[in-house]
Amino acid sequence: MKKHELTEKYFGNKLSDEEFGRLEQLLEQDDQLRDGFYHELEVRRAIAHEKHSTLKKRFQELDRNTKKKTRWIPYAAAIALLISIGSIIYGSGPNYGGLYTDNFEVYPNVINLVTRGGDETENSETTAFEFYEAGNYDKATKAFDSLYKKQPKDYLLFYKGVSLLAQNRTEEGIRALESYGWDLNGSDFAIASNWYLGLAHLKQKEVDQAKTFLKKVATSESNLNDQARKLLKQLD
Amino acid sequence: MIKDQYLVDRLKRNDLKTLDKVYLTYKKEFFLFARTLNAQEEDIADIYQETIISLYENVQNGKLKKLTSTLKSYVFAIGKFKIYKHMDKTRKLYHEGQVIHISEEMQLFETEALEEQRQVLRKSWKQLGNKCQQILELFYYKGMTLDEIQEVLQYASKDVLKSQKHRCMAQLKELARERYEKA
Repeated sequence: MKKHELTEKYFGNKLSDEEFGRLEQLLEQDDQLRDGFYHELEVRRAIAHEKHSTLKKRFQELDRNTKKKTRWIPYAAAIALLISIGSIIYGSGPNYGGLYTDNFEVYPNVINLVTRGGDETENSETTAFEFYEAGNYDKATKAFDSLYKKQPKDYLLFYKGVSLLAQNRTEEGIRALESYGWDLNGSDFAIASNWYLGLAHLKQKEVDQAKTFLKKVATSESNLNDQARKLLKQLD
Repeated sequence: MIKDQYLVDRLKRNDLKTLDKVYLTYKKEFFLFARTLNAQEEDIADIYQETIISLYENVQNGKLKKLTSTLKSYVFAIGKFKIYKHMDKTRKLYHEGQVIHISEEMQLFETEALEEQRQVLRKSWKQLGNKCQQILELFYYKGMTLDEIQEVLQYASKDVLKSQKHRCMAQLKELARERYEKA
């Protein structure tokens, strides 16, 4: 087996014990292989750091919320001031399409962090998220849709909605996201759904509806609240 | 135990509220535990978060299906491993419980320099184009083989994908080098 096949297998967790021993030996002997391989390990580390940052933010928020809740008052006052200044500066009519493109970004995959293993449904879920992460939103939409029909988990509908929006199928996206009571059911994706509905309505120049959704986000404790406040400021 | 298995099953269904609950349940005790192992106070919060993320990953990739201990012992076992790994500044490779020790000469950099290097790499990663990020993420983070990636990303051949991956790694290196020179 070529040495690069060994390192490739290492990253796919596919090495046998024997092959692992061989790799270990080669790393001792081959400087070039070793340098390259350690660089690859560092790259993997950097990617994991990025991938984990969404969940870490969630935990940090959780930590904050379980501590005292009084600290937000000065911030809220400062933001209110900024909003009022902002509304004076930004007097002219906003460009809704531009605001949409400035703010739209697909939601990170927080559900399916790793590939490998599991039963059949789970694997098709993995495939759906792979399409999603690969930016193949057409296929992702179809996959999330058929999964949702089999098992109505809220996040499947959510990612279907975002996949539609990402293809500029805005009306369909709105319909999908409005077909479920996110707030009512206390969904984990309630705030994110409100955010995307706000943006989507904005794109359709339905400003009042957009504002209703964005206000919900702005008053929430999610880390999207800042962005929602800024956007609302630009709309006033 | 039955209740713990129930929690694992909820995690399997990607229930993030259960993840929150697990996170909060063991947090205090984990901090005490980490201190008894002499972990640095400023590292504990991060290690604990990584521990809970590992639990979630293990449930998702099928490494953890049925608990053979309480959930707490499982979490603490991961955490203990991470604490030791963190305190041990020498770089090692891990393979199913086996460890490769990297020879002395490999430790070219002092810990601080290594941390700086890592930061540069993380920043450079963010600058990398989407297409490259995708390929590298599927390969290094998700552990997919080149054949699997070729299928998902619909590359004409494995060789095309291979050379694209090469270019991406070269680009990442170049971005990191530029950052170093600026610094």
